[in-house]
Amino acid sequence: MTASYVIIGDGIAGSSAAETLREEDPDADVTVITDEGEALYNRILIKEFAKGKLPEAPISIHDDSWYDERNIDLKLNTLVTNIDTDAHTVGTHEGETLEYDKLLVATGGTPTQLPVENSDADGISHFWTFQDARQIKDGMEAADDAVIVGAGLLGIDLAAICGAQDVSGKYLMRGNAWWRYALSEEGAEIMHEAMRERGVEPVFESGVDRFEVDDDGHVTAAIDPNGDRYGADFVGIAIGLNFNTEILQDTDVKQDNGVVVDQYMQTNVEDVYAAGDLTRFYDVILGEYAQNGAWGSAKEQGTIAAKNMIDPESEEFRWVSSYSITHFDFPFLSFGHPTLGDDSAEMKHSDTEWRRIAIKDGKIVGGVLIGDLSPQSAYKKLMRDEVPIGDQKEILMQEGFSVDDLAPSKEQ
Amino acid sequence: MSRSDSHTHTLGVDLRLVPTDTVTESDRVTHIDQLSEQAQETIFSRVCCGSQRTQQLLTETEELHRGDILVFTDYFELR
Repeated sequence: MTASYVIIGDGIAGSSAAETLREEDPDADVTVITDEGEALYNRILIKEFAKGKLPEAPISIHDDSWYDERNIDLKLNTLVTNIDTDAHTVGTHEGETLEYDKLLVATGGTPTQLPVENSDADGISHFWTFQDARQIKDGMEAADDAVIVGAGLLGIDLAAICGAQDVSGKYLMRGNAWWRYALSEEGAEIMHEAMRERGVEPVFESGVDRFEVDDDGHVTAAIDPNGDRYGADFVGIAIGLNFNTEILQDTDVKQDNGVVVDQYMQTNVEDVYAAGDLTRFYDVILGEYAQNGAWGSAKEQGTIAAKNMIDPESEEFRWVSSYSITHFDFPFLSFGHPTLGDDSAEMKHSDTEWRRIAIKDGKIVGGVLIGDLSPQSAYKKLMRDEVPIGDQKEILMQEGFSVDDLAPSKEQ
Repeated sequence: MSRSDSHTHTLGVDLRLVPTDTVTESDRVTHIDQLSEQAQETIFSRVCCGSQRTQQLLTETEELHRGDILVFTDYFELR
């Protein structure tokens, strides 16, 4: 009997799942539904497009022919309005009902709106989709002064876009440092200095209380909670994602700040799987449920989900993710879960070289490397193999560290 | 247009990374995060900052083709 697989979402998780399903089950019916108007594009590169450094075409990954060649039915601009997990059906806004044997939900998220006055004014953009990037590019090109909000990995993309477009920027942060949950002030200062060199000034212990607008409804300034006013004709916001789980509201699929899945990407409801940004997955390395929005992680989750949709519980998701920032002259790499852990070790080796590892129960669970990436593969191997590091934190911080430098732990 | 050869990095026997300022509509562009861990490690080791103990030569693969543009600390063309 021909199996029928329905995938909701055509980001990297959904797309990699479709590709895997086709490769491993050549006779199956595979349908991909997305509410976006364009097929899979390279979400990592849209910031480069917004900087004005890349044309549009290289951002696209798949065109219609990719799906045709693989006999995958792609439905663009299609909203899923109903999922009946008992009947194994998915309904669309066009009144179509699709039957499935296995369903994958890979709908990702939508940027969180800043809940302040005038946050929907003209000239204020959130950053997530290719369409957002087009709007940001146009907005930055026309701007003289910009305000950036969101002291995380997407926020710094906006700051870099601001710098690349030669727009004077103020980067408003609620705390005392960029990405303060993963970096100490010492590490963050390297990033702050890089921002300043590009004309973007970090403003600490700030944020946004409200926006001011002109008579045409265009933003003119951000007012922070201290009452300080920052003039801006463009504002970029990246403060997080709301997961697109509305389509599951009439189902029994368990959610806990994301769709809860096990290490096989399976939800608590039979024949329903999830992959990508919206999952709260059981991380077998961490030993607890976790989330990860990195491209590689989402791609692997899609692949693993597909394998388990064909052959249940055949392959678990075991992955150490990594995420690079490529805006500056020096490299920046975070891996694993750098904001978690009950202990840490860090070291600054020079004005542009700093590293920190996050430790949980005596094992590496993540880290951040700035400038010198040479120990990244060793750290990732130790994390992947769940090696107890004992009291050898100082050795881990040495320049040129490799796994061979670590003495076998007595805990082993 | 490529820049100074002093910033060129050899990846393999006949594969090099050459800094470039120009990306066209027809170029295939890859971000460092899209590559496998092995390919990343090789590029780290050659471009800036990877362990010399683990570096391996790269050849043209499914993920890296001659003519591709790689986005890392700069834009590089694979030649």
